[in-house]
Amino acid sequence: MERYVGQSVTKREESYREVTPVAIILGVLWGAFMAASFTYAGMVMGFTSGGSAIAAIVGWGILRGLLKKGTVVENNIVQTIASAVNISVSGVIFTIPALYIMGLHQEINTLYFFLATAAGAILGITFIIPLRKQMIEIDRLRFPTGTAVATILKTPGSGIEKARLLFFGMIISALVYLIQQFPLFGLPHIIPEVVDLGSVLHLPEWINLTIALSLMVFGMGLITGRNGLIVLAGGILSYYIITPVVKALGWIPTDVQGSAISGYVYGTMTRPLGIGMLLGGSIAGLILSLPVIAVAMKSLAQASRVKDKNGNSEELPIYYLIGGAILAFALLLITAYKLGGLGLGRSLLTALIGVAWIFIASLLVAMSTGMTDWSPVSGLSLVSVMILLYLTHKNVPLTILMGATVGVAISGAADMMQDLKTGHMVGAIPSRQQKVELLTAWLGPIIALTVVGLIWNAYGIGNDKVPAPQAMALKSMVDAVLGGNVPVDKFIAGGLLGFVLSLSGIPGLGVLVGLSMYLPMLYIIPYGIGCIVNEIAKRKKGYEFIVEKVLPFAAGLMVGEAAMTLLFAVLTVAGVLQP
Amino acid sequence: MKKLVGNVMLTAGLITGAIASARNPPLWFAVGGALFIMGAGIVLRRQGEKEELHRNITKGEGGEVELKKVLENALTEIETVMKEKETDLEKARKRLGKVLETLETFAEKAQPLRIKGIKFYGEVMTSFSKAERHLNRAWSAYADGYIREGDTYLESGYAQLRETSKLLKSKS
Repeated sequence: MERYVGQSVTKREESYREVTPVAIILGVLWGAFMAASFTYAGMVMGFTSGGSAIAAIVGWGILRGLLKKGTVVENNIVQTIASAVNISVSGVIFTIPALYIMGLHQEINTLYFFLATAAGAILGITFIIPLRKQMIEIDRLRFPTGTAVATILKTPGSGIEKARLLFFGMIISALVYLIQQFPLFGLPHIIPEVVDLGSVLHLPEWINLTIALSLMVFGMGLITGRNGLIVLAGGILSYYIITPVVKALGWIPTDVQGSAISGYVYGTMTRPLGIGMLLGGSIAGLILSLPVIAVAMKSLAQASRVKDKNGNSEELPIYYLIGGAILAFALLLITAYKLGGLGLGRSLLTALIGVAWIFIASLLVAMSTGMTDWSPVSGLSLVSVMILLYLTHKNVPLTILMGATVGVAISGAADMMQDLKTGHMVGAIPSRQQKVELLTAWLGPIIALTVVGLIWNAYGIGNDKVPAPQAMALKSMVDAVLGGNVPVDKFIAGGLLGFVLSLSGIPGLGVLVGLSMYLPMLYIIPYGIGCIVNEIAKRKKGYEFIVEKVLPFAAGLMVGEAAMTLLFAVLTVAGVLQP
Repeated sequence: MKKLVGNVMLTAGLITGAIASARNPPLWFAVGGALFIMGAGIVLRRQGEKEELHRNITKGEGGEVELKKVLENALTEIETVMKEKETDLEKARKRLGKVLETLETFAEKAQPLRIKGIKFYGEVMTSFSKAERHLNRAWSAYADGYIREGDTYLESGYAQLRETSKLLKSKS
């Protein structure tokens, strides 16, 4: 059957291919491959990747290249499933390895590990159901990665120029990343990964002007645009106003000197302040959005009764959300009561607060990701650990297990929203995306947990071979909380500031400023430069230039580097690379 | 002017509050003062925004007048697409792509509707976004060669956009 190319048109009579067996199988297989690779690589290198963009490209290669019949919305299903299976890796490797490091992994039955994290994957998806309308349709959040993936999905029909810009961006960022990794191959260091501009400009040691040379981050800023300028402004506030002022006022201990000053201010002052602002900003945003959420819920209830021409509903019925909340409550209750040995009253309280916290955290992560593409999962994990340690009478294994549930849920929520944004831009039916994710997302944590167990048996965790930096950071957090060293005053002060900021009329302002104080300046600068370039281009050349030229190129920049990180993850797993 | 003063107060309050909060322990008195200044700045800012919106509407710019114009133009273009696709589908699909790009500007220009009421804004955007998603599906279906699917969603997107236009007119 001829494909639709240029002037020729193929009149197809069968129904529009969207959720097909080949799409589901391809999505699961590719997602499983990425999940396994990134579990190991994440524990070695310290970061993971969502993988949507790469999945979209692989999808095109197989659906159109090999099978000669894939569609835009079918490939959307491939990337939806693949990223859903893969994304839970970050929730797992941030938490579970900490149990191994602390020697506590045998205190919990493996089955509970699987059940808790798999349930977390499902919870994140169900809790996001009422937020889709609000964030994507009403607030029109950008979701840069979702936008970039949509650009990739539409490439075959978008004309040769956009495809060229996309591939040009991919090649540039892939090449730059590859050259930056030369030392791993014993080759000379030609392009560094970071540049210490402060040293170059002979600034005082305590002024942090180190910039990551990441075209992927620059590309994120290019797509984000104006909202990202607030993140840049917040970063300037944090690093170049607050830091010099607190130093000048003598608020830093005398034994903290030179380049340690910036890190001290970040670790003990601005980061906890930023986390507080994130929370306060998101709670204010939730309160202000209640009328809109009510409209969205009403619309959701109505739309789930309306069927399309095939008899399907476009929206997932509201009882999925109710079911998800009940499942979350039951799971947390059982875990707390049976595993934690907590009394019934405290178990009920833990379950209730846990469900509320998962909802708020999912909302916050989805909002942050939507506005800027940054996801404050580690900061929220800190708060999760604090809350759970208090509720569970400082039961560390139980806290980390429930923390994993929360981590997987909120990572899944952010990923689902990105996928739904992509779906909106290509005309996918939301309920279909949500259903395939519910069907498959639980596989991700099971794969990740299995790989963690295998790594433990083969190499150990928390050593030179497998440093597991994120889990080590969580262990430090647990130690800090157990030692009473929690900056609650900063959380409260930041919460008040963030709450008031979000009342300003600028949507999500508290969350944006909070995020900027939470992120390292290393990434804020290239991100902010991308946002500035977007604004200048929009003013000089108009909105059409952004859509026609900037977006495909920026999408390419993001995809190129992401693809290389996956390649390096695979090479690390295969033992070819020794980071 | 009010909006500018409000923004300055909001920024000054934020900087003061952030510095006062950074201290171990925070200077709560200064934080309180900063919150007060921020609050006053927000009030001024919101008043300034309302006044600006009313000025623009009087001039015939911004607000619902411009939004209605964007929708009417989009509807006219979609009618052209419906006719054009019978003879040259490729050209019609490209025209549909342009319509979708201009509808992005509707979303940006609709932000000031929040001032009229968040519920009204929510209803308009829900209706608009559904139209947009259906038109996006039409574009994808035509690009993949699924003509019947494309036609179905082109018509439903058009109908939904008309609904959005009616909704806007009903509240003016």
